[in-house]
Amino acid sequence: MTDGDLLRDDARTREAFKRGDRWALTEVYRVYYPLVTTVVTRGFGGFRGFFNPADRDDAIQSIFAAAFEQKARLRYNGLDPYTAFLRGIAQNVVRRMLERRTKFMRTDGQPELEHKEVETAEAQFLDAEAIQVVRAFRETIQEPVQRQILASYFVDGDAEETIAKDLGITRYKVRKTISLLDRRMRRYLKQHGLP
Amino acid sequence: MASRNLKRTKALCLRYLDPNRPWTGADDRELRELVRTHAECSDWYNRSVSIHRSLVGASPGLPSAFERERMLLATMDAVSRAESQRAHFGLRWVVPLLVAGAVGIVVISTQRNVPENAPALAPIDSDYFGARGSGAADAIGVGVGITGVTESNQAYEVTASETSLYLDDYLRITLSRTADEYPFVFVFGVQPDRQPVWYEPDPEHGGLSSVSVSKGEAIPLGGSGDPIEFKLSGRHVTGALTVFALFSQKPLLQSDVARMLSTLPPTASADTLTAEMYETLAPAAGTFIVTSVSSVIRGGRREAAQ
Repeated sequence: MTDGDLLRDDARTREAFKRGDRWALTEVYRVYYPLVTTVVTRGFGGFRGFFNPADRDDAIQSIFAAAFEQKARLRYNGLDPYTAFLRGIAQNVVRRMLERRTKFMRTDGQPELEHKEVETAEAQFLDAEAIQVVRAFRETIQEPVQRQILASYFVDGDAEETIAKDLGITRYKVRKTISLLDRRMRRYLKQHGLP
Repeated sequence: MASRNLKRTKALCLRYLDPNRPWTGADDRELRELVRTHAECSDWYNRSVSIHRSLVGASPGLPSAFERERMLLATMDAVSRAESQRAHFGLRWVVPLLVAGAVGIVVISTQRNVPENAPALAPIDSDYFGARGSGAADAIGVGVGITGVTESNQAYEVTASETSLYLDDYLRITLSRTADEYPFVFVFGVQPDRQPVWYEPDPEHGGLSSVSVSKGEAIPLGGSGDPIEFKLSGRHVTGALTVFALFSQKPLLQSDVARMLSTLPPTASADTLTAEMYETLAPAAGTFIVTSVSSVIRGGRREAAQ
């Protein structure tokens, strides 16, 4: 997205987005999601980004909700990069969130490196033993198809149809395997006394 | 003892991270609000999603792809509801004018794009609950049927004499096609005062347009080998259910169908819906025909037996 800009460069998608067509909104969400996560995790100005998942996820949802309002959709001029327009919306949403709350520290320092935040975030909500236990779950999945579906569906975000095609199985089998994996995860957590 | 807010947050987190259960804009709004305003709820959310992310091998600091899809769906749902409310607000002013011409529209539009040899559609209105079509293709070359499947995998066809489905059963939808001119199908269900239930394509699973339909008689969605069955209690409530199958020459976009439905009152009859489909969707669909089957969903079997 450094060179191109979907909504500026693609008139069809832009018009559909302005009309509120679901496919265009979906495309915009997917394409500009990394930009929004950068704003909420790394911050801007003196704000160093939200730290915990609850705040980050809330901010992501609030930013897209604001960007997808009809007035906001129609306000985009189609000439400037949408990245700049969306960044403006994102920063306004975050400022409003910060104004409503006082628990976030503002500093003038540089943003922390992402890998450091990630490690700290996980450690803050789970003790070391729990981290070991949940990380070990994947080792319990021996069946190659199940391992592949765990990664493709839950981590890479591939659609069921794509997974089915890649693995040469039916979509129904993919759904069944996702259900099976979900049950195994719940049973595993229960066995280890985790919620 | 856990507070009521925390209990609710726990329930919502379970639903949020469960791939077998739907997640709506309203669910998402409620969860975010609880997490935003109660520290104990925020702590629980952080812990739940951190566990989920570690289990599946995603980065702990950001939503997994699965969560991202849930968040996307919730956003889409919220936009769709907002658009729908705006459309209904507008309709309040034009409905009195439209009502006068409604009968004419129905008569004209149901004939649009239907082949000359097509039989007249059976009359259905808001009081009609009988099932139409067993899934066998009739003279128009296409058909839709529904079958109930119990937890113990016993299938029962929903026919005119046995019109009920049970909420604790599964729904199997069968399609028939002998005609060449309808290679695509779009299947969804409608219940009064409810959002449509998308069967195929299902946007929750990445479906954005009509799917291709094989030739044959009473073939279940998903194929005969692995039929897709929908848990009725997942996305339905007790009451009338009409399943529509839109057969077309060109694929229909899910967004177009959703937008068309959002412009209609949530209590619109199957007749009104059918008429509007021909009016709105036919231009994009090429040769196009709407088939439907209606039934009633009753409460659980155990309740019915008492």
